[in-house]
Amino acid sequence: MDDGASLLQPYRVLDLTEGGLNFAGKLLADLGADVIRVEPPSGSATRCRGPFYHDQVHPERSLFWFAFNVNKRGITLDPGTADGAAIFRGLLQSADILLESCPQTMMKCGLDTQSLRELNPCLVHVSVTPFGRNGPYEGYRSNDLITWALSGYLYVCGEPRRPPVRISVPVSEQIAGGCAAAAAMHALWYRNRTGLGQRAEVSQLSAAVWANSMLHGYGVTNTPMQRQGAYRTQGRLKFQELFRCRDGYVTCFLMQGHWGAPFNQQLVAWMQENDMATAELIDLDWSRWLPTTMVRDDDPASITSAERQALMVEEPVAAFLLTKTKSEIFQRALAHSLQIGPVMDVKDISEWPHLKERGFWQPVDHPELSSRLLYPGPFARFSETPVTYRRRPPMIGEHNRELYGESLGYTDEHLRALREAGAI
Amino acid sequence: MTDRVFEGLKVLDFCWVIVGPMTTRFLADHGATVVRVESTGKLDYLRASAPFKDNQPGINRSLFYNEVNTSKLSLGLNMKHPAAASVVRRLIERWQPDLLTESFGVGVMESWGLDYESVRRIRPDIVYFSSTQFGQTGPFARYSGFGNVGAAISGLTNVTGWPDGAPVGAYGALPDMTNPPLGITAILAALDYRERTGKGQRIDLAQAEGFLHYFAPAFLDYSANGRVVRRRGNFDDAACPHGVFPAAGTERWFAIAIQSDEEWLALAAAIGEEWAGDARFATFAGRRANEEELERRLGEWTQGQDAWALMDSLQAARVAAAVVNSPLDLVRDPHLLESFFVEVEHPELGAVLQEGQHFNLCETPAQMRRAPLLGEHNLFVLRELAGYTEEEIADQIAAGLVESP
Repeated sequence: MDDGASLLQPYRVLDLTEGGLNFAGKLLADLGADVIRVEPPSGSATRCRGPFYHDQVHPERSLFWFAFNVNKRGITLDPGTADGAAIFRGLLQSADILLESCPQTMMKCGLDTQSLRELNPCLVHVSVTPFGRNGPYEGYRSNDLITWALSGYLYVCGEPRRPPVRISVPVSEQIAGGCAAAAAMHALWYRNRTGLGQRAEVSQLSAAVWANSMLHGYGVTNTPMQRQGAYRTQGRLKFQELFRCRDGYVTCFLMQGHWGAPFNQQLVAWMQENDMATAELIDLDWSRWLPTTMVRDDDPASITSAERQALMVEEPVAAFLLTKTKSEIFQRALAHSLQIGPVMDVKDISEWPHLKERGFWQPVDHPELSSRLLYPGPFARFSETPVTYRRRPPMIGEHNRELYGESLGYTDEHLRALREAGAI
Repeated sequence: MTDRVFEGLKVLDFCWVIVGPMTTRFLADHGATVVRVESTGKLDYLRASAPFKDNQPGINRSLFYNEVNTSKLSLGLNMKHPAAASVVRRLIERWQPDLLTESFGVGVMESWGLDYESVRRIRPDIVYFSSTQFGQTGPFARYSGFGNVGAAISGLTNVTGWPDGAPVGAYGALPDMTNPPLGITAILAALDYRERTGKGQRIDLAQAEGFLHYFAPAFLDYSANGRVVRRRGNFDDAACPHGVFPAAGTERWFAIAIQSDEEWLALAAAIGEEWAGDARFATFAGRRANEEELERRLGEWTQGQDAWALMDSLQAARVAAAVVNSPLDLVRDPHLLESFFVEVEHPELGAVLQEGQHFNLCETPAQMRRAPLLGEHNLFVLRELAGYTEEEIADQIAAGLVESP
């Protein structure tokens, strides 16, 4: 019965994805859908991913699993067994959305697009694979690093004299997971209008290319790019973007010309208050500070003098920022519209008053661990139907009895037999 | 029966720059009517941002603008003109959009009398979506930072780099790019709810909050273990070797990720040199203990080789290995050309290679049209949707209220 308490209350989702792709089902679960995480009888491989609670390597202690499976129910099932396949077909008939990243399992169960349509013509089927279903890389092996490598993004991350470097926390699977949730909602909208389900395909590589800040635009214009580390290149010049401060680093891009002028003037005013503004900075007409436009390709001296213009600004700014803390700089940025932000670590973010005041961090009780963990809270705020955390992440097979018993009518005895046969 | 997902859905889109327009692009490419209100008084600065086609600037020539605004209609309206808000209100009254989207700083829509409460009085069941960096409430709500600030405060900048050095920052503004799928998921859930219950609502998406979900395990690690994740270069918990190695050519790099002993054996066989058969490298623990030596030897083996040929041969041997594509390589990559990029015709730019879809719906694929020229659909929107006469529209143009292309 839909009492309108949550956004996606009427819908049931079967989630057979692995790894960071679990984020797709997590988003739909946060929005109120009944998301059932279907794991092999021995538990999902995602449970082997660290970090672990108190560093105890154990399938019920994976913080990675917790992060992307909160709000879901969990059952075990081996669709490769005859009984398991029959149960899976039954579940698919009552589902609205199927999320999977296991084309081999689907094939093994004989569940191609045609047979899924016969089984449940209203089903939305979202299939996520590393490279999609066509193109020469289909079937290639991948992981987070490989995805970023082919996406173009890895190439531009890092320092000029060292190899490209990835983001230390793997995120490319989650990015594809976000796209899979969006794909499911598109197909669901069409299904609700027409009664017709369909299959949607997500390529992890395509999702990563979308995330690469539109780098192919530089390919289209044939503009070579280099890794720039703490700098940002503009034409023939490079400008410092990351600066040291008293207790860490800040990002501060000194934009040129009239775009940057109001921000840069505010920064100089603050330096003046601290007697750290140089005479050149105080006298500078910021809307005319445009070092990149000084460069003439046929005149090497023009590059030297443009670089000097950039350094004239950057050196005193760097010296000044060294005297301030991240927190002082961020507060000042807020009060005076500076384009400067602290390079925050996980602790800074977890303790940032802004997120605390917005009630972002949500406690979830884990009675089995006698612990309460703080999760990143609602990914979006809805005025009518707020996102809440209703369930901690499921333990292996936790909802077998509930789902197989109550929803599908299996008796305890029958369940025992299925368990012994390795079907669930 | 129709073959476009959002046929009939009406969207009034005040989003600008990247995040917002990328969010509403999903709707436009899949058949919704999306009217982008572009304030000519304060131009979308993506229209003025490089790269431009043929490196020639122009308000219709920005590749990035054209990327995130496909299939939309453009109304050029000078929002600094005192009569602009009344034109928008009239459009809402007559056209009755289902969804209003905006990505301005907090308070901008309110200053025009177009905040949620005001719009709701005209269209009570509207879904009203706001996308900002820090959200509509909280001490930093009114701070608006650019993408580099967004990347820094989301923790991304700090965890990109080498363990022995300063952060180098992940390129560009990744959080700008990862929020649109979350935004569209939120919007579609709210629209679905509205179909069932008749109730509209307001959505507040804070980019800073959205992105933290991608890092969620790191925050649980802090909550449970007090650990603060650090820069780790290309280190991976579960794979070894795992890194980027030189290949033949300048700035030509090659990525290898060995995720099992079996995969290592396949790589060792492909290398075919004595050192690769060393028993120390046969197990994960052994490879980890000798990682430095292993990486040095691997680099020596890859450095003279053609990266593309190496990818083909190693992938054929079931080894996760790939060319590190540069931005220039991207537009020549055979897989991406076949499965992702699409060529789009544009009246000022000619044919341009653009990004395709985040995902493909097999029965109702996206039907992408080029992005609009500034003010290209003024007449259609004002006459057909808002119900103004041609005379009234001529007056609006003369008054500098509507900017004609």
